[in-house]
Amino acid sequence: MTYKNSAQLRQDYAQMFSEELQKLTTSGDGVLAAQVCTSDGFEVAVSGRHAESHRRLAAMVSSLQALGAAVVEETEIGTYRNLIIEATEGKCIMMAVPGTGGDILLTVIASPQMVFGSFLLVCRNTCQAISARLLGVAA
Amino acid sequence: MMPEQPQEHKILFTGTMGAGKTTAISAVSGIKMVKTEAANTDRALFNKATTTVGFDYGEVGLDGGHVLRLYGTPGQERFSFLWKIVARGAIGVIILVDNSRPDPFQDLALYLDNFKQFVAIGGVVIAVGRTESHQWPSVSDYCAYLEARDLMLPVFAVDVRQSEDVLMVLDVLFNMLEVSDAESA
Repeated sequence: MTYKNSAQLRQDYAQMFSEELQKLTTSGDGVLAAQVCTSDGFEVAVSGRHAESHRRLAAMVSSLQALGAAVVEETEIGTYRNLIIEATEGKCIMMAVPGTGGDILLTVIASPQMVFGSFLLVCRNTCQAISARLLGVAA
Repeated sequence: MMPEQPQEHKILFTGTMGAGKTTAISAVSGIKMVKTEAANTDRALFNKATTTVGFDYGEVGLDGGHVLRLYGTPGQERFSFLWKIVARGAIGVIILVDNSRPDPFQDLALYLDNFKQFVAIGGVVIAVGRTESHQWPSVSDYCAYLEARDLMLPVFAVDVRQSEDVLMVLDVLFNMLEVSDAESA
C-alpha cells in the first residue's frame, strides 16, 4: 500500500491515527507524545505535549529515518526497522508502520522512567494497530 | 621538498526540490552515492516519485589524491534545520536554480539567505538549470539580480546530467576559493 499525497492521507486517516495515538499518550505508561508522519516529512496526526512543534519534528524524523536506513545499507546489517534515541529527560522511538512500504512513520516520546522494553512493546503494538486499521480501510 | 599531503574538501549542492542536486552529484561521483530518498507525497510542488530527505553523498577524486566530498541537501524549506547541519565544515556551496519554476529569483534568495556565511567568503557558484526549455531569466538577468543585492557571484547555465557541466562548476568554485585563500594569506 503506498500513498502519493500527504494532504489526502491526512484527510482520510488523520482521525483514525489520532485515536491510536491518544490511546498511547493517555495510557499512563509514561508516553508523553506521539506522532504519525509521512516518510517525506509531513505530519499527519499528533497527540500529547508540544503538538505545536510537530511540523518541524516530522521533517527531522523523515531525515533520521532515511539516514538510519542508509547506515543499515552501508553496514549490511539487514533491513532497517527502527531508530531509538535516549536523552537525559526522555527517550524517543521512530519506526515505520508495517505494510506501508516505509511511507508512514510513527514517532513516540516517553519519560526517562519508562523501561525500554515496555516502551518498544507499546510502540510496536501501536504500529500493528495502525497497520491493521489501514489495511482494513484499504481492503 | 615534501610532497603535498592529499586533502579532502566538503562542498554542498543545494537548491529547490527537483533542481537536480542528486542528479548533479550522481553525474560526477566516483563512488556509489549515498542517497536518502523517500516517497514524494507533495506532487503539487514537484511531480517526481521520490525526494531527498536526508542528504546525498558522493566523491570526486582529484590529481594528487585530493578528494572533493559532495553533499546534496534536501530542497524543501522544512528541512532547513538539516541545511545548517550539513553545511558544517563545508568550504563552498553550489546553488542550483530551476529556471522552469514560477519565481527562480525568489528561490535563489532563499538559498542565498540561508547560506550567507558562504556568500560572505565568496564561496558560492550559481548554476541555472532547464535553460534549454526555459530561456528566461537569462544568465545576464541573474547577474543583474545579484548586482542589485551587491553580490558578485558567478552564474552559469548548466545541464546537471552532463558530468562536464558539473565538473566545470566545481572547478570554478574551487578556483574561487583558492584565489580567496591566496588573497587573505
